Amino acid sequence: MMYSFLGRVIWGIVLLVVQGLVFNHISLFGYVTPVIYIYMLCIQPQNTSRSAWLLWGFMTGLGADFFSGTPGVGAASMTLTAMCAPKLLHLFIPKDCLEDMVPGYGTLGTWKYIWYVTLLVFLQQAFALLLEIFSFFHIMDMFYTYLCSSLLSVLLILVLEKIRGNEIS
Amino acid sequence: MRNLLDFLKKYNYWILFILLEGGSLLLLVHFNRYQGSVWFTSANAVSGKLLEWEADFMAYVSLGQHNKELMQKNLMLEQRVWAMRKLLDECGHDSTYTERRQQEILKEFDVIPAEVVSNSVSKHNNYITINKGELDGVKPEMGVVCGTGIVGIVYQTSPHYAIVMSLLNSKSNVGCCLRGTDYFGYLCWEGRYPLRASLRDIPRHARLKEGMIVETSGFSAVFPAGLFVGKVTKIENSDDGLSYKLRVNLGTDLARLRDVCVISAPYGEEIDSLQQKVETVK
Repeated sequence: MMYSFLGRVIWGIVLLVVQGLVFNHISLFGYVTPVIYIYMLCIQPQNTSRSAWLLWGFMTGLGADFFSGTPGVGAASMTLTAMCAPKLLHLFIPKDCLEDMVPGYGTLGTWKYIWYVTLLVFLQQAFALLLEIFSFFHIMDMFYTYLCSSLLSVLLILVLEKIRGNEIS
Repeated sequence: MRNLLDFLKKYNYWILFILLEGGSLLLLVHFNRYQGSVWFTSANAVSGKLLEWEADFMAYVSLGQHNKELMQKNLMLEQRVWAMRKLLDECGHDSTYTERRQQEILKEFDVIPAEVVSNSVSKHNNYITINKGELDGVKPEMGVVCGTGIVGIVYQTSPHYAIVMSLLNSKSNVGCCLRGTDYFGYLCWEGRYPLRASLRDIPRHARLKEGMIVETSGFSAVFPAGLFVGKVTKIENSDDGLSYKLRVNLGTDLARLRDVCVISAPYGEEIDSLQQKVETVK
């Protein structure tokens, strides 16, 4: 196991605590809040079962809800994203890769990995937005929030992956 | 039967997906009304404690800035006291009587000091969590203020924490009036700018000018009359054109909130029950 179960659990806890205590309080230009807990889905190995994907997604989302005061939004959006994630990953994995390959710059290639993370983040943010849509009342603000928050989250996740990659090597 | 088992085995993740998604949506629907979500949000013991530690740490880090602000404020207040004493002496008033009277008015209100453990200004419905709850005497519908003006109204309480509906909440409506006039309206927040709110329902015949001071009207049991809210920066027509809508620059920067006070009006419950009786008669 290149990246152990325990390692992922620790990453999950760290991501949720940092999200809850730091990133939830960031509000760039009044509406941009980065979301880094989606990174939990980015570090799932290729051979993860569909049920495990869903459980990881649900538990991470629930943990995020715990801090952000939006019960259900994170859990539902992360479960939906976890349902789509294996199919997305299959679009990018090379044919001759190892069975327990963990997506990263080295395993997928830089551009493919960036695309993979971008799609996951934009998908999760879109689901979260749809679930919250009834409480929003400025459609343009909502769109800016979605676009800017997603882009900032992608950027942060790419930096996180760089850090994790260095740790492993 | 065997086919069914095979089917379930093959597509078990779909069942799990429906279960988890159903559970999440149940949570979403059940707790979408904020009243039921106190235990699950920042008022619960674990995240409440964590957020309190974080808030304590942040407070420690920014002590220098707070000290500076307090000193400036103290200096300003001392200057004002000195100026007012001078004015009173000139007018020949009995200054000791005025002080006594002020103290008497303040005695009517119980003030519960509290610290902010969680706060947001970037959402469309912002709430603040404070570290005082039912055991400290905090109840829903109590007003919350800080040194620079009003902050919000207590929305939900747990034994040790309370959630305050901030002024920066689309559901917030606070009765306010313009200092020096009898015109009153409702202060509400239209989103996006955390230092800006709108005072609605000001009558068309009112004589207004920019820079007027907005304060609480005291019509409800939540806030006493005369608490500073902000200053008028722009006068606009309301959407229906029947009244004025004033843009108000809030006195309190809610993004930098740290120490607050919960105001407990002594006859608050009495006034509320009377108002409820009137509503039922209607």
